[in-house]
Amino acid sequence: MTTLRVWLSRLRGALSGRSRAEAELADEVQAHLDLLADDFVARGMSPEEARFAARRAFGGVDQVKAVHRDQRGLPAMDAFTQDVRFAARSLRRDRAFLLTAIPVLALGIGVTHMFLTIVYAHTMRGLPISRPDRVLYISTFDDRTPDRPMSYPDFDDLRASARHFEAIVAYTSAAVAVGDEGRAPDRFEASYVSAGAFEALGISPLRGRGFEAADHRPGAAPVVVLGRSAWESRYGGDPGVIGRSILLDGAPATVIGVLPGRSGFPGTASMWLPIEQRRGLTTAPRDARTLRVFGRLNDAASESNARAEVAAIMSRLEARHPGTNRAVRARVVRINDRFFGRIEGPWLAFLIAGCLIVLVSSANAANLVLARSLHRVREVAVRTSLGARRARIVREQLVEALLLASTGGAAGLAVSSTGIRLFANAIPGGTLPYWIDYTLDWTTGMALVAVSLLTLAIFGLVPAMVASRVDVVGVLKDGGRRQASNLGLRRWTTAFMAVQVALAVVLLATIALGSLAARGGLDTDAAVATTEVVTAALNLPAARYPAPDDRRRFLQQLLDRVQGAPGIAAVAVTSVLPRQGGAESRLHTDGPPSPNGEATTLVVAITPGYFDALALRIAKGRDLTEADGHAGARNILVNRRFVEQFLQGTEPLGARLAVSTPGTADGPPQWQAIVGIAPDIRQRGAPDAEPIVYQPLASLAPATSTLMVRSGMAPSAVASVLRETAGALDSTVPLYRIQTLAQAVYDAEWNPRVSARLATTLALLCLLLTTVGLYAVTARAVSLRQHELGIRMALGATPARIARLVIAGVRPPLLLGLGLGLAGAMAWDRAFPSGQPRLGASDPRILAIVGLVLVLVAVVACYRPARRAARLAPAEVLRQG
Amino acid sequence: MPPSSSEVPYGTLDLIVLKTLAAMGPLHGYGIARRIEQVAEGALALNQGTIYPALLRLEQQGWVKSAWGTSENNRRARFYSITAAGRRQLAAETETWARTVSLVSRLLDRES
Repeated sequence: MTTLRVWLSRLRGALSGRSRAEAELADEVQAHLDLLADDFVARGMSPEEARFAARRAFGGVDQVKAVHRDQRGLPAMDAFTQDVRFAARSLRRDRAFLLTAIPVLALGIGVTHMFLTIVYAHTMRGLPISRPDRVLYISTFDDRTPDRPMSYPDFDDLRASARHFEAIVAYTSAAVAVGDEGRAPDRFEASYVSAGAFEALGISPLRGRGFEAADHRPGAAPVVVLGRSAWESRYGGDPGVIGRSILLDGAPATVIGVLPGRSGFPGTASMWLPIEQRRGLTTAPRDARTLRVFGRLNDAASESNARAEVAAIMSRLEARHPGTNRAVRARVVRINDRFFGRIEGPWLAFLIAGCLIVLVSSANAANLVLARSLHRVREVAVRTSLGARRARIVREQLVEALLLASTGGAAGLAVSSTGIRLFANAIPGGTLPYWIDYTLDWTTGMALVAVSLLTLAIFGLVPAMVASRVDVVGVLKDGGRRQASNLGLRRWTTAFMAVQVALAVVLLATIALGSLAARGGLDTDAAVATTEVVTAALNLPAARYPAPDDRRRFLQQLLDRVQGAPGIAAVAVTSVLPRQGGAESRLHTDGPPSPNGEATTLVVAITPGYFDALALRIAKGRDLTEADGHAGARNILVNRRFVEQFLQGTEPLGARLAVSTPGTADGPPQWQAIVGIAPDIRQRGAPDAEPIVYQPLASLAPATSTLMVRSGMAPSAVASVLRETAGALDSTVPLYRIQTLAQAVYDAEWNPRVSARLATTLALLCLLLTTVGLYAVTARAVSLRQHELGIRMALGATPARIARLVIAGVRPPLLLGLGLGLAGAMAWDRAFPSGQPRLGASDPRILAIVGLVLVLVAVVACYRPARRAARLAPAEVLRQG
Repeated sequence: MPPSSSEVPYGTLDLIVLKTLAAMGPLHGYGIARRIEQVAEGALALNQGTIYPALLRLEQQGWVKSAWGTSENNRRARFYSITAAGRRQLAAETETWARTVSLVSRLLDRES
């Protein structure tokens, strides 16, 4: 392969030091000339004559060197590196341009990449398991319920008769309390899994072993596998924990292994147990559908065959068990399709926003490049007339754009990773399932390259085409003015700038709206977001506290003991903390039925002293008392908003109402009497208060509730008091999520907070891009009109007048954009009502502020070009023309 | 027709250089140029510089190799020598050349 060898040699030549080869050639040629001259001298010439004769005989030294050079390396590559050097040099000279174009590109690419990465992580990345395309998720549905899990008997039959699957496994999740000697108990999310679950997903334990067949036999000794996070947080990563017996919900189980981090089942489980250990599960009836089921296909099986097989088995089950399985069908999808693949709702908005940003920023970059290339029209014309080929000039422009795009891409990566870090940190730990991973991988890396190339295509190609169309004669004749203004881009630029301004108007208006709406929060917000209240969730294991009376007794003892501890001002228990929701319930009153459908209210269960713990006062009537805390107690509180909405015009105190869980059959209403009116506290994110019914916690005594303790002590001191007190009462009851109420509220509100931050980022970015865009357009206009402005000045126009003339140039896009933005804000109001009467994005107050901001932006953008115009020296400009 | 010096026929310089190196052993660029001129006895107008691109070509093909050394009158010079692959190439090329020449001359003879 001679040609290959030649190419390799050339490649080596191109890559290796060019100066060395050059020096050697020079030496060699010099040696040749010297030898030749020696000969001539020997033939009797004078040294002077000999040197000339030698040169003549040799031929053109420089031509030989040039041929040598081209042959030595790869001429195309040499030319490319030359172009890169040239572009880098010419860019470095134009620092003002670089300082605008690079940040514009970096922000555009970075923010877009950040959005893409987030969307990708949530909707496309897939589970980190081996060959996920061979794992099918099997759920059921019938005429009434579109999607439900599977019952144990159905799962067992399916597992026994399916032939196309290597394994079919089921799991279900529950919280367990973990206790062992000498440690405060913890609460973990656990998955109960059937035999072969780890193998089916290709997960092997980090330490110890997974479950074996013997562990799944009925009556087998209870065992547990820890997740890495549980192993590290509770046992400090001690390998000695394997083989030890720990208490799960009060019952002993042996730790047999630890799973690696970032693995497990769809969900946030950090502990695994054999499904047979879940009490009553394997003997549950056929219509108790609680199991999530998936199977791994045989190597030989096809997906469609497997689907048909599952369908056949389900119809057999229907025939055999008509009572429980009538019309129950299976839905079989790839496991990643079950959890990923749907880009909708906020993700779609994210994606659109990302694309808009990159378009806007690269169009802005195009404007900047265009403004810059207009300065160079003359240079291009001169070079073309001297014989430079158009292709070469376009290539130079593209190389310059490539440099810009790659620098912008690299800086964009920094922007993106910072943004993603901020985004991820804003989400409280444990909120997202383990598979959501924002790290840069091959796909997101390629996305970055693709986005950078997209910007390159937009801001690189257009100006390059424009430059290549330069009409040489015209430019050389009139200095490029007519040429530049004939490029026909003006209308496009105006339209583009107007859209950008409109976008900025809408974004700014919605943000202003958001902050106005937030200011309209409740006066209890400050009282709730307090660090003086420490909260701790607790979970009473069903094994030890089966009956409500048991739980009631424990909670009462706990309350009494904590209350008695030194430094504690008030203590209460609630079913759910402020901002963390509540039980959405149907409301029944004595009054006529509500005209707009069923009335609903949130229900929160509390102990007496809840409002004391929050340092809030009952608005009217009385608080709940110990006497209301019995099983048959019928007294409740409602909040003000409830009275406004449902009890308008009647005496609320003493009025009766009933609540029931939606979807349950209508029994006779359990009437309850209102004894007091509570202040409005937001249970959910909405800025407005919602109707809330406060029931005595003791009448329900739920297994999971949250302690609230007000004291003047440091939160950590309170936490240890709580742990000690609860531990002394029952060492198997875990207290978890111990934090201040302020922290709990902050965590609970992450979603609106993160959305608001993203929106603010977008708006600021849009504003920045608008500024840059207006600047580029104005600067370009000034360079184009230099000659005209010079004449005006020569004829007596004052600098102020010239500056006004320049500023007038941004008026059309600005006015058009404000108009479009107004329309956009009104459309926004219709699409996303703010939830507050008389307040919307098109509110005149908001639009006035936004308009003012944009005018300011325009002034900032025009300042430099206007000043430059005003300082033009007419004589100089006219002489140049 | 009076004998006049002509350009080196296109594509033959490489062959001539290879033949020269095969016949003379290692030579520097000037030595090769002088030898070619000697053999041509003035029938060839050689721009001596053109042998350097030719030498680079041959070296890239692996037919010659080079090393720095000292010339007869004590000047540093780069000496080229033919490789085994170069000898094989020379043999093949020589044969091709002979065939081409005989073909062309046969054609020319017949037509005249």
